Amino acid sequence: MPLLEIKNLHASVGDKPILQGINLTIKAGEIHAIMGPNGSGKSTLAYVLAGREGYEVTEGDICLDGESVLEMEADARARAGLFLAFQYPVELPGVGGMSFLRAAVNAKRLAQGADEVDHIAFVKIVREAAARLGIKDDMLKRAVNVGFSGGEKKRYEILQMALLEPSMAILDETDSGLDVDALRIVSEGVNALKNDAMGVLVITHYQRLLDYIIPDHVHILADGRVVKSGDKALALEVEKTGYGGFTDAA
Amino acid sequence: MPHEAINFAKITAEAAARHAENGWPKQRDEAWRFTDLNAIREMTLAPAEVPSVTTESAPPQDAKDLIQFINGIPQGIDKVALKGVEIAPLSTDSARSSALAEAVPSGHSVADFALAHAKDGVVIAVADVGADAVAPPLTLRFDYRGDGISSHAVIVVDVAAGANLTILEEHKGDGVGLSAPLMLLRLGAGAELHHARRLIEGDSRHHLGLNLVQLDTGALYHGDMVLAGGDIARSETQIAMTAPDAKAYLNAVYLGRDGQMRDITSRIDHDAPDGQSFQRVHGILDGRAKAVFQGKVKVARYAQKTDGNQMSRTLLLSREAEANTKPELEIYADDVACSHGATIGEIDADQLFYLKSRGISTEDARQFLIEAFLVDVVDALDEPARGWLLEAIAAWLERG
Repeated sequence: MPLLEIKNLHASVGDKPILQGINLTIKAGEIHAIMGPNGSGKSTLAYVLAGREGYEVTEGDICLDGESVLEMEADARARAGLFLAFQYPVELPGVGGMSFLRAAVNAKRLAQGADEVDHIAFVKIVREAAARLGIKDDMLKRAVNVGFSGGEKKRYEILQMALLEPSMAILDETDSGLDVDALRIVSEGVNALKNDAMGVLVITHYQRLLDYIIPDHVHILADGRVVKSGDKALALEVEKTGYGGFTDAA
Repeated sequence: MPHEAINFAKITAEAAARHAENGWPKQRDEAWRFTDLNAIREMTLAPAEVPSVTTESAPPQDAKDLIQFINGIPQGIDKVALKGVEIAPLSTDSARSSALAEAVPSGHSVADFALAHAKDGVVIAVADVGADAVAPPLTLRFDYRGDGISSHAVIVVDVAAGANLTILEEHKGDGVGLSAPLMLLRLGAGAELHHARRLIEGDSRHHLGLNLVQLDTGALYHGDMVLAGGDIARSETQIAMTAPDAKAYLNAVYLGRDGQMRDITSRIDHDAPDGQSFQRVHGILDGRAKAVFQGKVKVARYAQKTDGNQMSRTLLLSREAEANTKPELEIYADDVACSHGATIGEIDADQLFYLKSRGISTEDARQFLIEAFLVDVVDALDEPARGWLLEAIAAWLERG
């Protein structure tokens, strides 16, 4: 059974149709990349998958582990194993990082019938995971994403991914705003988390992230549709020729 | 005995006459522009009578640090035993009665109403007992009961030069009624008063309170309030800094829902140099609740080096709720640092989605954001009373 199945997905924001019939199947253990020019619908796809309000599915279906998630709100989808690493992580002034991380982990554990995580043990788990991502202790004590640099925000996204252990991770332009060192740290973080039971969907404008997170499949998105699919070579082709040829084909 | 010329009975009689003539203010009165008192105007109210001392109304035996007021009337004030603190009836203290009469702003209908039907007042006099012998907090517990009763508590707090007092003041109770407490708080040179208030009366009650604060040289008044109860609830504070170097904090959290009205009114007169005032007011409104924060800061020409800050923030949980802010800075000195800021907003959709995308339920996510909204004002609350005040906020939030 596929992990994530996107079937003839049409979606609108307001009255504006953005996604116009996307089909995509991701199996456990696979890394897929979606590439596309600005305005092709990449971020809309990420939000639609995560269940953001205001992004309305008008046709088609999204199935996680064979179950449609269309009727599920964002929080239920997350507890079911979906994770979205944000292109622009949101600052939460006044929300302490540790209590935020603990609430997220506990929400998932309770949904799985597990006990809430032990407070002391959790702090240790977070510190270790953070250290692997080069996240300093004082960042963990701050309010969520407040005063973080662009790179720190992206690392903090991957930290959340590490703690939530999703079955299906969607990385929305995780490379944007990262210098080479940060890109390497973030990519290594993702590669370390990747396992045979997990699917990854990498959404990106540029090829360079795919040098670090090697995709099994690459799809070109243009005008709300997947216009071409292939392997890693397709990403390199885009790097050379740009998106021009693909949008014309759409 | 010339001071008998203005005794307590005369003060109340004069206030009654003024209130009978002037009645309740209308919304065309600028100070009451946002607060509609029609519901109060239409009430039939009888002033509270001295309750018979029953087991229910008697304060606990060990209440050495508590004054209980039943419908505004103090009970067993002779039981209080705090080092350096003396409690006495106001009616036998003509000097302080005169001070109160002088302090009451002319034509102030809330003050007149409070005085008009007050049977007596209470004097709380605090002496300097030395820094290492600071008394535990004095609790003023206002219990309101019965229907159709207006409560008139009149209190004069005198904190002597160098003395220090913490007051925990709570107003609670049910029934249909109006509470009108009037307090004069006089702080001598270098004195400190930490004044924490929980206003958590039932939904059918109204509350119109006035606190008059007078600060001598180097005095500190730290007022913290959670206003979370009553239908129409107004808390007004006027602070007069008539000597240099005085400092005042006014922190308030107001919480309203349904059709409730919340009114936080303040006036700070910087009439001497080097004064500091910091006001922080955060409100949360749900349903059709309305609120106003009107804060006036007046800096006299000779009150140089004044530091006056005012910040107001409101979180609207419903599209039908309404918040108004009316800052007024009147500055005649040229070397001052005065500022004010105001924000009114709702729960941020991006923040809510971010939390939900991590598996946190809508309810818990909203809770996170509501508590986050309060962080700045909670941090500003006076440490010893913070937990006590937070209980009142938590109780309101739990009611949902």
